Amino acid sequence: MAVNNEVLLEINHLSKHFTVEKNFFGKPTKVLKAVDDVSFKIYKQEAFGLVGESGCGKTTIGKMLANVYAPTSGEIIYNGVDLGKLSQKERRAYCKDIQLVFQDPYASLNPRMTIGDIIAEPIHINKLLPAHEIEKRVLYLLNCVGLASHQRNRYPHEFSGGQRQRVGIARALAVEPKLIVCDEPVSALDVSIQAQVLNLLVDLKEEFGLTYLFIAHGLNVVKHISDRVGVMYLGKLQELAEKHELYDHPLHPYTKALLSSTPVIDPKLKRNKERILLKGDVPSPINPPQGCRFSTRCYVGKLEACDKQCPEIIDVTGNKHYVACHKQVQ
Amino acid sequence: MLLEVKNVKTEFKMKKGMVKAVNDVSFQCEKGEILAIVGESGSGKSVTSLSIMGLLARNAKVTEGEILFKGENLLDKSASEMRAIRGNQISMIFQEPMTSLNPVLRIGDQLTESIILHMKLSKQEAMQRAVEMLELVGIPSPSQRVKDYPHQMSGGMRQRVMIAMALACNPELLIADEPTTALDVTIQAQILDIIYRLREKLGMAVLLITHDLGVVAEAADRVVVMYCGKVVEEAKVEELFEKPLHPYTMGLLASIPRADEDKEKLYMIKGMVPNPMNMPAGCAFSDRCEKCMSICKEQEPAIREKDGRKVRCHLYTNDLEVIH
Amino acid sequence: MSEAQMNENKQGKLEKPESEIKQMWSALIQNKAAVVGMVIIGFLIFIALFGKWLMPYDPNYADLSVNKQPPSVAHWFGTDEQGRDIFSRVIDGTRVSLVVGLTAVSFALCIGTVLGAIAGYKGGKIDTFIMRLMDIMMSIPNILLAITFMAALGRGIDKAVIAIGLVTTPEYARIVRGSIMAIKDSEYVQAAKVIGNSDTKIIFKHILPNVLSPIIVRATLGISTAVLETAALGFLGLGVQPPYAEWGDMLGRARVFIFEAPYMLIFPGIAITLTVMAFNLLGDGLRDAFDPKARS
Repeated sequence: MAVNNEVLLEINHLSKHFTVEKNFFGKPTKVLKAVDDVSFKIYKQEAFGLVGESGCGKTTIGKMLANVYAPTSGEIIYNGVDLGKLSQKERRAYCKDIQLVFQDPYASLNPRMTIGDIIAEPIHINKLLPAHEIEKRVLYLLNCVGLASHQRNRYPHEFSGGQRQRVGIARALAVEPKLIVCDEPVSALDVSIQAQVLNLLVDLKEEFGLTYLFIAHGLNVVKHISDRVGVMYLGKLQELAEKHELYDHPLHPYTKALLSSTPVIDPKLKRNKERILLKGDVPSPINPPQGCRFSTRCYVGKLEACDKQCPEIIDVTGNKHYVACHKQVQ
Repeated sequence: MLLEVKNVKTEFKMKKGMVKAVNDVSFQCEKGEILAIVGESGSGKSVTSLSIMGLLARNAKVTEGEILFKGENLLDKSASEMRAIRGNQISMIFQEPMTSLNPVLRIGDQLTESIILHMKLSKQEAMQRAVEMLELVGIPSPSQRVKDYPHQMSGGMRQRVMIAMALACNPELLIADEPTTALDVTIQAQILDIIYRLREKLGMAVLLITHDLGVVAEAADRVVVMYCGKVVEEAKVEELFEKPLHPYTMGLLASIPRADEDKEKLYMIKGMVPNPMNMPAGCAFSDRCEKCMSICKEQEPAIREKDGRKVRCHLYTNDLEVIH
Repeated sequence: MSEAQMNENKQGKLEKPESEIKQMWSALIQNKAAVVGMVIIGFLIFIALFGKWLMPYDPNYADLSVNKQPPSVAHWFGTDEQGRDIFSRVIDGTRVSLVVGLTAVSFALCIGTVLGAIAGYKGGKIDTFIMRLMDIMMSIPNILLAITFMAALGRGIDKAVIAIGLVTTPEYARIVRGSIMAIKDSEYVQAAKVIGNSDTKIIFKHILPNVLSPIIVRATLGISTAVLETAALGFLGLGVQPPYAEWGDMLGRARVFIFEAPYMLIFPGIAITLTVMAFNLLGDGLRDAFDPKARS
């Protein structure tokens, strides 16, 4: 998996705030900062992994890239164009370049359409092929994801979770996208089916020269599929590095805790393993801690700055290993 | 022996006929042991736990077998006798901490309810006990939190309350049905740690129902692997992970991405879990098995057992030697 | 590639989809109550269409010499105070009740769906405005509101249709809005957006077809309400104008003779009950048939 040096997509200071409560006059009184000032680059044909626990904002980033949500502020630069500045109509022209595979294969397929129609729809809408060629393409796509052509006219409820996820992948592939955002594509599936879908994703990436933004909460899954990995916590990117670098030499205390909490598939190792157990729960993103987002759960001796100032994410090693922690800067 | 499940068969009445969700399942659980039951959806692991608790849906019934708890068959108990056992000697925690608590009652009231019922304490003593239990499961300032309503707590907190509630009456057996599946990894680690610690402290046995082999490796002492309503393998946790015997177990272990290795491709178990209405003849796994032989499609393998290690597969002799 | 799925059908034939409507129909005809409802409705439609040739007498022909006759061989349901044949009038009234019921509901359905769809999809101030208006309408008892509309519009069957339609609009608006809000943020609607659909297409292709079932069920049940309300307006003398026959109007006129000639009330009363019951049975049956979980 050679990583190209050409940037495909770049996000700069991207934020997304949701209004939770408004007062009588419609002014927001409670704002949830789902994503707060996040920047990173995705290179051509790489698999960029994004990990974090629920509520960290990883899914929101994916959905902003795929045009489900509009960003509150910041830039999404795709091939030199800032997608955030386009009108809805112009923005739709880029839909065919960036596609999304959803987490829940039960909720993401329209129950009243046959799977063939679901896959054909994006081709119709984006007018990619003349009408008589669409059917051939649909059958080809079904075969690509390991479904049989004769199943074309079945409805989603006749399929298992793993097969539905294949349909979702075929729909994303239909428009020949450059970037596919995979939002927890295997977390709703059974263990033996997860491996099938993960292998399929790896195969398709090679075959079509795809770039992935792979979003998941399981560190093992992300490591398996990604080239570089970013760790998010409470709407902020905390650490970003090449995967071996990140997993072998984590710098941020949160990344260390996350790695140590992840179950090891080896009962012998568990007894020797020194475990970092975090105290308490993730604070509410409506009212996040001042200063470093992780400061309320951090187990490493605190600096004065930790409670006051949000640390910048910077390359501390000069090895493209970015981390947002005051202690690393010293 | 604390719990002995002997040849239990649980069937569901469906429109199209009877479906065997649990088919001839046997295992034992000793005092103070954490026994994991692993399997994918449809393996019958949850139905097994509900059969033990006597909490099966109306269209389901244990049609054969015995469930012995401290030597007494739970299946012979009347509904009121079962109520006295449930929540007292055997208690259970569920997957979904959001829906398992009554949203209109305060945490303290929910906790004291079963304490008053089973331990015959006064209201004040029960509240005292509730606060102690919350402290035990690591909830900060418990005497304040008993006045909270469930919606004021996070998912991890609620799961702790559920555990406190389950442990309030000093049960001898705790059945934990996917206790960490709905939780984040750092919270999962906390909850597993609590279960592990409390087992040591209170000496209770835990039946851990899960699909996650990582959780099994972290917490369990012994493992029962289920597939399509049957036990296919049983072993000590170290043995199982070091040398799985059943092809299904081998496949499962090989198909999990691991942080400690690098592989381009994961091993895949081909196909899907068969439809319970349309099971293959012979071994239920035969359609998906790489080592499938002609006998596998014809005859259902019996359990082979040696030194507490069991496997249900034609590949092995009765002494668990590989047949060539 | 997963072999198991490939093996399912080795001929590789394209399977004919079992259409949704077919499945629903087979579920519906397995429901005995719904079948009874459908048979009664079929019977009522038959009467409404071919009643003309079934009537032994002209329903509006008054013959004072035979007034207030109890049921007999000549007049199966008896005659009213003007000597008109009640059997013929009940048959004639079927047409009015069904037509008013159906048109009033379609009217309410169209306006209600549009209002509810706008409110549900757009949200914000438009939503608040539309829904508060609907709330105000719902806070006034239906029949009172209908009478108010009638007072403003004047008497007559066409006005009754509009009045009943307007009065029941809020219910449909509410159901449509609720259903749209529930699936507007669902993942497949998001998926429709991701592949580049426009808002209008999303509403018509992905949202509305998925909220159709509760609306149809409500509309079927709504027909029975409309029939009852037509009857109530007729009873109050605000519906069909004389001499045309309408069940509610017949009841209203017969009221004074309740002890003297009870059959004048009984037969139109039975007709109303039967119609209302038939549509309710069908509505309940449809609700179950539309629910894929209840179906399997």
